[in-house]
Amino acid sequence: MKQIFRRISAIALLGAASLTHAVEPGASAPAFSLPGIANVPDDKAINLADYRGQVVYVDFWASWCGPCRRSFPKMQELREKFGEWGFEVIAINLDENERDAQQFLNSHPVDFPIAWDPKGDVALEYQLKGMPSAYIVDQQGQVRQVVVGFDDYRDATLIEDVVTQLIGL
Amino acid sequence: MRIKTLTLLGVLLVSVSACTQVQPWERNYLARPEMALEPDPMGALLRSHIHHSKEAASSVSSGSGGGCGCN
Amino acid sequence: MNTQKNTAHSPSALMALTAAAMMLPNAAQADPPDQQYQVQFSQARYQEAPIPQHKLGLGSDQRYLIDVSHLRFKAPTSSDTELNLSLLHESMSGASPWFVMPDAEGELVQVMSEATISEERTELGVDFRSYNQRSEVTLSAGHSTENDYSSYSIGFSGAWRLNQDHTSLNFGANSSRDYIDATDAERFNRPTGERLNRSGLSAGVTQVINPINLASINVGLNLVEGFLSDPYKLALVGQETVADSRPDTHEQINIDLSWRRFIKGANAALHLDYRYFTSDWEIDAHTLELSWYQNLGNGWQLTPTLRYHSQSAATFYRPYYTQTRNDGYYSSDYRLSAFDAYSGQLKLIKRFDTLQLDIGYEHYQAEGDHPGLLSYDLLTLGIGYRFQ
Repeated sequence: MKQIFRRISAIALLGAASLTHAVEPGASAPAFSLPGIANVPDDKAINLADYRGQVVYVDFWASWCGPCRRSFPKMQELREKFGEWGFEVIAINLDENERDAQQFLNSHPVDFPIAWDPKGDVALEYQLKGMPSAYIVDQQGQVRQVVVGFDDYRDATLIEDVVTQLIGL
Repeated sequence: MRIKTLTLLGVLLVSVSACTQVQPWERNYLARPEMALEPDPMGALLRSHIHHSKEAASSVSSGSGGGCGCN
Repeated sequence: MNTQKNTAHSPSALMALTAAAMMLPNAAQADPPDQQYQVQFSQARYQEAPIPQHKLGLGSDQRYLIDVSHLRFKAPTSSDTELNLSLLHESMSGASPWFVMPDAEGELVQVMSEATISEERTELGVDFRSYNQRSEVTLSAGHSTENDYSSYSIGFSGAWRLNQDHTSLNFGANSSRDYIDATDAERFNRPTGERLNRSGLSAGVTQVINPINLASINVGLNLVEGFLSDPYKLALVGQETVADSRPDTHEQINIDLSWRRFIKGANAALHLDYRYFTSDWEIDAHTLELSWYQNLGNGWQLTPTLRYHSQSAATFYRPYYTQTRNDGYYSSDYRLSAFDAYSGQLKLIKRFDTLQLDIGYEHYQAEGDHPGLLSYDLLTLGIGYRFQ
């Protein structure tokens, strides 16, 4: 009895501990290395560490998520606007099948690198609260803004303000 | 003892909800249109209107939930 | 026996009544507004089978032929609100059941109206949905009108999302007021200026069980008061016919259980719905519906649906009465009789990028002692278009 109790409390504590690890502004962005499935030379791996010194918009998305669809044109616009000022978008796809992601990309063409996290390992590390979720990471690798969901008006304006400030325009 | 039982119950509840945890990125099947409680509201309205015009049972409902869980 | 002729007969008032009630939205979506405009149109026709000769007492054997046109328009009004407009037009023609009598062998036969009647009904509905990250609310209003019946309804429904979107608590309230003015009232001594009030409350829970299972329970309470009789129906009492006459209140409770499961191997979704209905007229009903949404690739989807409904009779219902009742209630409406109904539906959908086409067919058959129980065939065609 006592042992079962201990085990259950351990599980509960683990759960509670993982909850407190949600990535929030001020935290350093968890490192990742994921296969690139689009807009990377020879489909090589995408490492967050390689982008140190740039402002990076790390976006988590899936083909079946409605608001993700709406965020794509905005992300492309951000990249076109701020790309030359040391800014990049990394969009991490969470579809189980790569084909679903490629189909989505065919109808929503973009230029930024697309990484693939089919098991959700990196998503779990970032403790996503919803879909899509985006993390604006500064030149030192620190998370400066978390955006959950995507709203064409509110979120789009907020994102632009934060990025403008970080690249010092 | 009672406190212990209560704690155990609480912990059990927490672990039950942990078991059924569906992460936001694991909702691809739940987000499909055919997994909605009512995938075709317009067709359902017509059919229930017809059925209810021939049967005694009418109903009040406000079902919602499920879906993509996107924000 | 009273054999008055019915010239401008209307379909049952009950029909408009339930129509107004069903008008209220069933907020089955939990996703944020998709910021798109949507236009949907559907055309349906259903034909009730003629009444078999051995079940026909007097009158026409032709039942109703009904055409329904339904137009729906959805527009985003801000980043988290949307407006829905719905316009429905229904035209009906045919004869309708009057009363039941025993024939020479003592078998029940249906006496129908003689003439073919035509009737039109128009229904307008508006609803406004407001979405927040943790909750949502829908306000709705509706109006339905036909020459002898009009209905006004308002509704409110909402949902709270809890437990990281795993649980949704749903609630709703609605109310309607109906006005009944029977046609040819003076000639046949039918009611005019009658009213009917209806109020409903509902509450429920929807729970995500795991990535492929979803379950929901919903409880509804309905209070209906006013003129609940059918102004055109009669009942045979001894050798005389009397007007259909029902209690002026009806309390109803329904409990709905729903289960949705995705089957990965088949790329299909299984829907199971059960409804229990009980009322203080002592009608108990069980309705079970089973659907299989089969994805076929390239945007095609085929959905067979089976439905079974079984109900007990209202306490005051009799096919005909051999003596007068102390409470004065008489109704021989087949809707209040005990019967089982079976229905099968097949629906095919093709989704393009922004366009959707669908076609559906349903056959419905009711079986019981009442000679007026019917079967029908329903054909629907639909088109939907989304744009930014």
